[in-house]
Amino acid sequence: MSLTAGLFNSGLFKVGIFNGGLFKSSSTVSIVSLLFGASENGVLYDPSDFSTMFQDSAGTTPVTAVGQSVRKILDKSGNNNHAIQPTLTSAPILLQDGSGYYYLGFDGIDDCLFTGDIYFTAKSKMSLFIGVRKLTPPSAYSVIAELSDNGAQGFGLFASSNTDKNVYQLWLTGTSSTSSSSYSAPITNVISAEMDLIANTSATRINSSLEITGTHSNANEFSNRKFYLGRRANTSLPFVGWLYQVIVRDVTSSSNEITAAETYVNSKTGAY
Amino acid sequence: MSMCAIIPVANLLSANTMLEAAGFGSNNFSVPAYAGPGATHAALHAWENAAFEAAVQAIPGVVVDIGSGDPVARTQALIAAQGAQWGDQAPALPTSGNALANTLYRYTDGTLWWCIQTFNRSTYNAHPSTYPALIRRVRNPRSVEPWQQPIDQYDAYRAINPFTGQPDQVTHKGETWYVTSVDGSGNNVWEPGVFGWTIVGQEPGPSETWVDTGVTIAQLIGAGVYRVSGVPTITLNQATRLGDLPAGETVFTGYWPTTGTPSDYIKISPHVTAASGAKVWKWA
Repeated sequence: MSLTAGLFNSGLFKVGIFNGGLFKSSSTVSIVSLLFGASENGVLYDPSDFSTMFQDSAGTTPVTAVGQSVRKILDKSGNNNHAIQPTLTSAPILLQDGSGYYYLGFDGIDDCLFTGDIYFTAKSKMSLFIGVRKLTPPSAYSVIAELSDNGAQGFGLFASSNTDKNVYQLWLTGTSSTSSSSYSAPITNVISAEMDLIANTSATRINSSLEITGTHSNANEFSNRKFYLGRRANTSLPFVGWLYQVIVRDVTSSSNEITAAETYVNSKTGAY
Repeated sequence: MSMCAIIPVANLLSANTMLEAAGFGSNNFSVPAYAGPGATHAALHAWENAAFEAAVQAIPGVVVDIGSGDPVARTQALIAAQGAQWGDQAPALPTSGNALANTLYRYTDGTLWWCIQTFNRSTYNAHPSTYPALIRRVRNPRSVEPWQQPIDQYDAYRAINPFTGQPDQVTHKGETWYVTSVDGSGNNVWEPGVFGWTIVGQEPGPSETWVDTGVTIAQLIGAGVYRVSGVPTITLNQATRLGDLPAGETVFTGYWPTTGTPSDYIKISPHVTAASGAKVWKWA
């Protein structure tokens, strides 16, 4: 994969960031600058960075090797929206796949990470970028990531619908949009979603191709909510699979930003 | 290697308390399982951790599976071995054909439903709440959901939820409520705002307490109706207690025979048993 010079014309990407199309270790710094440089609120979780993970929710015992529980992961976006899991059994573990990519493994039973309330008051737009692998066919309504306690507000990315385990669903303020193509487990994807509560629209891309469009009309702001990974409200709808990268920002993204973010996430995921 | 474990709900609170005291965090058993229309068991899955496995195995009533293999499949098997069903793995309620008795289903809105008797969804194809004799809503004990009228002990609300260690919470009429009073069996079956519920953040002031109305029980007239020793001053739908024990807590629903006309006959709901001479209290 190579990136043409014209693909990134914002000036934020400099020579030396890319190495034959693959991001080097400095790429996270650049993507943070690009996506959060204008004080955007949100999160960026990077399980490939051991310095951001801890085996206890207080953040005192660092994760030092694969196979260890991750009960706290630091937010690299600069917003301090760290995610934790106070309960031992509900913590995902750090693992590494056959291609060398690091990920958080969620057991599909009780694993979950979640933040405190994130201040999204008066914010009507949102971007999500996530590197994910669905393992065995998930149960109905399997939550990959959700900014809501109950699905009626905020947004959620699901690994399945109520009746079809081979789809992705984006929920926005209580209304779902479902992929038309089949994504049968096991499968690895980079998913990005652009959500706009004023225009009442969403657009979800899977492996850099537009896959889901939706219309929604139930709210005008995302408000203050906790952000959950792997389980709804830390209580139900568990996800069985792997998370390689997670990015959320409280604006919609330009086409250049989308491409850059997808490329970055894929460099940590290897989906395509 | 990892561990799956399951415990009856009766042992749940003590089990989670024990694990929390040992430093493993709260609510380790967090996955509800159902052998009826209410949660009967709680399960967990933990990645390999020798200290935690030892602590769990020391818990009375626990059933443990330590091994390798798909954690979801192993948890599913462990729950099934207890005669229970896993809410998060419940199949979708069919839109045609039979819904089977004693089976847990998930409706399209994500809610869980327990089928009481087999029925044909091709014929009875409206929202499941349309057929309470055939299928009933199941609450996730770890979620704050809209209040629903309890039918029996399986879905009554409790002052201490064994899954959370906290009072049950619901949403109702635009507010979030938690249980503050229950009957002698530990259940609250009243609508929030009527009795036994408090709005989160609006706890009653310390001045509110049980106040002696000055009258006593004279005679049981019939279910829900007592004659008392005088004409008490009680407000319609005011929490009331017959006698000195929590088991006597109920709600004053009016005077008899005319609800709004004071008399020495009082109506209560639900009916509670009180001996002659028992004091009549009101919450004020």
